[in-house]
Amino acid sequence: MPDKLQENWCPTIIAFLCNWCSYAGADLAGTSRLQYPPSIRIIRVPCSGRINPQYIIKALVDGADGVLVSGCHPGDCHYLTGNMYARRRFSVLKHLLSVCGFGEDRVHFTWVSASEGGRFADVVEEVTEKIRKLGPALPPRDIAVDVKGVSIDGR
Amino acid sequence: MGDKLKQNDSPGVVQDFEEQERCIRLIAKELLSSDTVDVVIGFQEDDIGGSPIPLFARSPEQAEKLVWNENCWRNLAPYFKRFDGKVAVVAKPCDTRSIVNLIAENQLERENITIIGIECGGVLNRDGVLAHGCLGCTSTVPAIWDYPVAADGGKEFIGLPSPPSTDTFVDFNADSSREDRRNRFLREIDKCILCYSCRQACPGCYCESCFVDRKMTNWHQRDVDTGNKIAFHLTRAMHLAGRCVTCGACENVCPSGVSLKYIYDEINRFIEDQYDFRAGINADLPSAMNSFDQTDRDTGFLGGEGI
Repeated sequence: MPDKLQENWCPTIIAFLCNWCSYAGADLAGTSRLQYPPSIRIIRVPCSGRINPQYIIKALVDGADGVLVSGCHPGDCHYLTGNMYARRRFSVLKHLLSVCGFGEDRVHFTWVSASEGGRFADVVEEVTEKIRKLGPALPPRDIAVDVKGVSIDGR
Repeated sequence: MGDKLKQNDSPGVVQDFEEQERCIRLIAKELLSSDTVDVVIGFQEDDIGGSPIPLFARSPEQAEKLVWNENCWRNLAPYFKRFDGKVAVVAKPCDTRSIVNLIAENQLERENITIIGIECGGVLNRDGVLAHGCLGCTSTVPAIWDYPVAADGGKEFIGLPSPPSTDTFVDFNADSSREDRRNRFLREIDKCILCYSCRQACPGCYCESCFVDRKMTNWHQRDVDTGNKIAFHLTRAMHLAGRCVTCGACENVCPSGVSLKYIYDEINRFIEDQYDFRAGINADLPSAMNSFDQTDRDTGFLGGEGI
């Protein structure tokens, strides 16, 4: 990829944000006029516990450059325990992706509360920068596996 | 078939299959003739010469057909769903772990099942080599049982040695590079034909409607391409996280020799390490993903602990 394109390329990051904290945090970042990269596509969910790991896998398989998942800080869940279950799920999913060597550096989990507009902007900045370094994701449908089992796609 | 293993020793050096078979038949006939149970699930010889297939014996005469030998690799736990009444089952240690898991998840009533627990030192798969689940298996004694059948046919488990594990059995290596892990995973799923046999044979996959079968909210396309294979295997691994009892049924039935048990083993190890939980031991505990602890660590989170 030419350097110039690399410089201007903006990844497409799917962001699953919980309605009560992170989405409000993103809102606060907006109303506070904080600048952050226009890379995220927000999907609002009722709770981080509502996020089926399959959503994240599906996003990756369908070619998203990255996935950001954010919910209320542990202990602050609107539904009291939703993010507690989510935390285990995400830790295991991240480990699973790492064991398979597939997309573990493209999936990021964090906690952002409704009052942390600044932190939300920082998180998006950080995640976008990390994924920009990785380059565009090749949709797995296009991954070719040769007979010896060495993947052609170096990423 | 991955690293094909030749067995060094016969798994049953001290295991007396014939004596065990005699005991199983005796117990089954007793249970059926006293009407303690409606049906006994066990093994019978396959008419066309394959590995023993499930037998559902409803009378003492039918119980005569029960067999038990080193080729009985099938996991019988998935067959419970077909029966409502009192059921007895011939269960290897891995089957009993599956049953514990089903009881813990409210899929079975403990009082409705009678477990003929068999001490087992490993079985052969249909290729005649030690079955995948037996490699590295450490429990030769059932997790729960009502009627014990020890290795010598007695009632006291004698503590069979674990099945032989050869050096060619490569476990997940945490030090391996990302490329290695990725290539191993892609190499395995490249063989997959998305037949879903693994799901069918798995004692943990009991959902009435599996995500691969659903047409509305079509999460899973059926074309056999790398993307769909990745999606299927990752989702299945997530569904079984903290629930897999490593019986190896998925690998035993796979027609194309996909060997992904290392992933399930590694996830189990991770869950045991993080949440101190192991599936198939205690039916009173909720599974790791159905429970939480306030003090859980933020493993894998931004700024949290790395993996």
